[in-house]
Amino acid sequence: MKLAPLNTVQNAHDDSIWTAAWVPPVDDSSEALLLTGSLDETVRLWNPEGPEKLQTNTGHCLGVVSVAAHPSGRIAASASIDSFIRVFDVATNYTIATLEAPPSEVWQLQFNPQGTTLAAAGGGSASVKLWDTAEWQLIATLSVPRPEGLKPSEKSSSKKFALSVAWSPDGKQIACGSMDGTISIFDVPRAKFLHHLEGHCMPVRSLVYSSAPLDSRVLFSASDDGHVHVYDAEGKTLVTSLSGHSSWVLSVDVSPDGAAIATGSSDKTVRLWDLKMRAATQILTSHMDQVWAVAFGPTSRTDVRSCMLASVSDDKSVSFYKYC
Amino acid sequence: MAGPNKLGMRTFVAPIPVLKEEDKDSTINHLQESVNSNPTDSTLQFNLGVLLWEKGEKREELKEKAVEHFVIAAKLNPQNGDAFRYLGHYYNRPEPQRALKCYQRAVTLNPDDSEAGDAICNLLEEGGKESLVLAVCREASEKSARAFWAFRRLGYLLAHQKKWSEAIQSLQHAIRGYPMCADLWETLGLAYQHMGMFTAALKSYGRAIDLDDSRVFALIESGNTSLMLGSCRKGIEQFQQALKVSPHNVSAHYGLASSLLGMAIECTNMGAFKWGASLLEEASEVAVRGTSLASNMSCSWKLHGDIQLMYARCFPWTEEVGADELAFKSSISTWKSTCFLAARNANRSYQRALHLAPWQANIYADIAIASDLALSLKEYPKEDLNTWSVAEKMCLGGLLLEGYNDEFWVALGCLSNHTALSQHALIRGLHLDTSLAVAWAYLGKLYRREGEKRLAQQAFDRARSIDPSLALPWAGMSADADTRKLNQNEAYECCLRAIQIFPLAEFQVGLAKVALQSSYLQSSEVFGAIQQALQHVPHNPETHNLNGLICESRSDYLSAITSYRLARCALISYAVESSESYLNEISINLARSLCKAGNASNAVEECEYLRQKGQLDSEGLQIYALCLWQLGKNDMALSMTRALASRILSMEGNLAAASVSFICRLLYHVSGQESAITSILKMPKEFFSSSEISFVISAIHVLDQKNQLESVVSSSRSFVKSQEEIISMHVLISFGKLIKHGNKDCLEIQRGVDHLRKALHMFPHSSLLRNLLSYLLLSSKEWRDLNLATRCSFLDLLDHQKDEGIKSSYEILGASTVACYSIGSFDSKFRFSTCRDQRPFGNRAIKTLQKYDFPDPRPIALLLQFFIY
Repeated sequence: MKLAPLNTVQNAHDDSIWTAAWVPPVDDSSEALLLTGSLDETVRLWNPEGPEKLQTNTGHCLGVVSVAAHPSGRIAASASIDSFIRVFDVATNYTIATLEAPPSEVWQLQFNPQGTTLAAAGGGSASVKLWDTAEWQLIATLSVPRPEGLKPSEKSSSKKFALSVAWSPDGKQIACGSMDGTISIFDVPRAKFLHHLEGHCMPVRSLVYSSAPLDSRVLFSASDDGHVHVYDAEGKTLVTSLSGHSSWVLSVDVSPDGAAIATGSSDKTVRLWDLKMRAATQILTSHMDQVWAVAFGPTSRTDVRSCMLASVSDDKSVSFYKYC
Repeated sequence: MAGPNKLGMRTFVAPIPVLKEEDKDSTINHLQESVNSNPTDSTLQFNLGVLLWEKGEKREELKEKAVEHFVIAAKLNPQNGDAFRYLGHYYNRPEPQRALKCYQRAVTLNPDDSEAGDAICNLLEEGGKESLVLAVCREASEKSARAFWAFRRLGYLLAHQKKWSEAIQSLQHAIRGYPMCADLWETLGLAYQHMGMFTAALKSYGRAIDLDDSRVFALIESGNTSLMLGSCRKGIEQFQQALKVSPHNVSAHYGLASSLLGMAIECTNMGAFKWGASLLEEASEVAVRGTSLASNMSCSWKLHGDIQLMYARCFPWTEEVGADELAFKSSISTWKSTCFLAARNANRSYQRALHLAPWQANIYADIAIASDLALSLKEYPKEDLNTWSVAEKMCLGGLLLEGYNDEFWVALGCLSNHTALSQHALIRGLHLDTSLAVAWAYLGKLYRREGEKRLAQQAFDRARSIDPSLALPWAGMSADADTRKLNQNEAYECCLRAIQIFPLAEFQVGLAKVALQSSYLQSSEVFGAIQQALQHVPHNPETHNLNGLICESRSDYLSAITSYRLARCALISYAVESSESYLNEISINLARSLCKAGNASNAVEECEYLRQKGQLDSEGLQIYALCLWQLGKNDMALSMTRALASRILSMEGNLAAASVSFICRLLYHVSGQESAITSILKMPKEFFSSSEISFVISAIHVLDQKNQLESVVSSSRSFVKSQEEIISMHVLISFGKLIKHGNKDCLEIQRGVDHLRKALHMFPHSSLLRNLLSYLLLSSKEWRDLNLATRCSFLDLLDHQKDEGIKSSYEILGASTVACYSIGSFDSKFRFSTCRDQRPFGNRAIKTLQKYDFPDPRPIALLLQFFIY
């Protein structure tokens, strides 16, 4: 299990790159592509072969905080700081829909694995917003319950500021990470709050469910407190805690085989963690500034045991690695 | 009372002098013998123990031997605390509990024993028993006021527990014992700082830094305290020193950048934009270095955003000397793009800050302000299809998170382009706080823009009464001078106050406009204001035009010419809708300045160009005719004069009078006296119904020996009304008397003198009359009048710029003194002094002349020569 650096694109954007997501291949003949979003208000599409810039999408008035790709690989969504979501066709950059939410109320975006719903961490509204992908209508708002004894006007309501969101592989559960370090689990079909997962003491900026078939209740979370937690999302328990980053952990993603996770951090490193050993097996220091996002690509067609990993950073560069 | 007296049995240890090694050995042997002979003397036992202990620093067996003696000493005299302390030292490592007991005994016997006390506390702290440490220190400090070790430890502990006021007491006490301990001073400073006693905190930190100048904490905290007290300069020094000690300290970088920002804001509010901009450049560098040290600190990025935003607002445009149109345009676009880039950088930095801490409501408002500014500075603003502008949307973001914050409502009110939303937001802000002066002021501005003058007035008045240190209501008052029935001077005062509070370019242009109609045009306040306005709205033709007018009024014609040219260039390049009439106005201003500067040929070109466009108005015609005459093209000048004359009937009063008098003068100069008189006689009588014309024709009349204009002059004199004008008219009349009654070679001075005497009787304070009279008296060369002349003339300080034609009072005074003196000293006929106080007065005259910073040194030199000979 290791990461082999492939390529780095310096100055991939004009300013800090904040987010990245892989677009799965549309059919057998095509390859997976990488979408990146940046403070320079653009979204760019990359072919890891080369690597080569395929497209630059404009249209946002402020920095792009999140990009998400539909499992079909045909459409994708990007959101900027002013809570403006643009849904577009990946190949043609044609705008399919624009979704507007009150400012401060859209952060991380995620399509469900079935591709029927787009979820957004609703920031100041302390909720997860769900749009259906057929009509692009807002279908539900899953609110994080307020701590008891708090009036709506009280300032601490912003403590539940929702930053991150993740779908369980079956699309029935959503996890939502908040500024105060709690993670809320929702039952999507019943639109119901289930429980909190406690343990982090600082904002949770990234969440991901395990992709291994039998581990679908395992949730990984990355927090500003410098730790990565592994939760049993259904059993409400903290399974283990992975420590090692010397600053905030900004992003976490799990490998397709479910055996490893990668993290990006404010300490400018990318780390690969072996889940069996519960330790970092590799520390990559190629970035010059904090690493805002790491993302594992789909498994390679030629070698089922390997896949791509991409990391993006404040230093304006995109790095590609081979994981095997 | 705890103290040394009560524990009087402390003098067990005989002072053992510092001994050499061999001496020590002999002393040990000697003591050993004494102990052997007298084994029950505890003092001897103890002293021997101490010597052995010191000798056995590296040899365990000697230490053991020493301990034996200590044990015996302690047994013999259980009051010997020092013995227990040595025992404590011995047991410290192997048996902490036993050591603790020994130390406790030592401290109980002697609470001032700092060595034992600190040892107990260290042992207890190692065991994590903080409360026990506190108890030990409390006990010791209560027992003895000299137990400084206890006070020191107590102070630190209390400070750690954030019990600041108790900590201050303990620390103050401890400092009496350890006045050179920098740690104590530093902690005391921290405690004071937390109690809000900032000056005391600064002093304590200062003491700590004096004792040890590498105290980074004290340096940074004193910098922060200085900033809080508003003295940025001190803060800069302290943070710079901190950075010298610790070059990678994030707090020091942050502090230095924010104090530089604070100082830049001070400079900008004074109007020193260039200074402010250079400070901001430095601040920005420091802030960037800070963010590179810790890139995930939201506040550092926000600070960088603040600095860049301030830079975008205060970076001044600078005029290049001898700039042509192209250079002017390129300098403006460079200036604009610098500002735009700064605004965009600010926006980006705020976005980074927000991305790191999206729950911070104030950053939403910051982004809103920065993007609004960036949009306004963009060369080609793109059309936004969204119904909400980014600025409005981001304001809403802040409001969603903190709807109870009235400042966000005001921000929305200012940034929104929709009047209704803007009004709603400001009123919501006022709901939250009725005495929010800013909201009232902006509401006034909004109403004024909408033409609701009464409401605007009310809002401005309310804002002003709540907070008189706000600039906008004063500017609003000045702008509404008409509806408020303020006179020009009051309007000027209000506007001046506004720019003194805040030097905003719009206010400054307004001040210049108000000054145009008042008597303040030449004042340096107006000049300063328009110069500052130029640095921020150089693309506005009005600013350059006003600058030209002001320079012209200060007789700086060359600058005025440049300004008018730039105004024309700015109007063509940047005005939203090019206004033809404004362009003509600027061109005429330019022609006038050219003419005044003596550049008649260029002025003629300007006028010719206007004439071809058919835009030459009566003022332009006058300038044209005058310049043509100056160039010697008399025929053309006369034809222009005729064109002007044909328009007189359709002109309004003042302008018509000016035109008529201009025509008369020009005719006089071009065609001579006779023809001018003939023309004047041909003109209709109603042309002469103004004092200005009366002067012109009176002057011609003076020169006319035939008195042809007698009737015209006498009828027109009825329009001479003000005192000043009447005096001037008297001067003219006396000139007339001088000329008309004299002959070709000699003026009839006496007649003039007679007339002036009569006039002076009516206006005894007129310096003009007096000076002329004394001049005439001097000219009469009658010795008896000389003394009179010196007394007639008086110096009027305000006088010395006017009246170039008539001799200045200084000259007259000087000349008459000289004359007096020369008569007195050279003419032997007079044995007595003709002038009273001849010499003393002479001296006084010199002094007087010197005092008034005499513009023309010749009379003084002359006087001095006389006195030297």
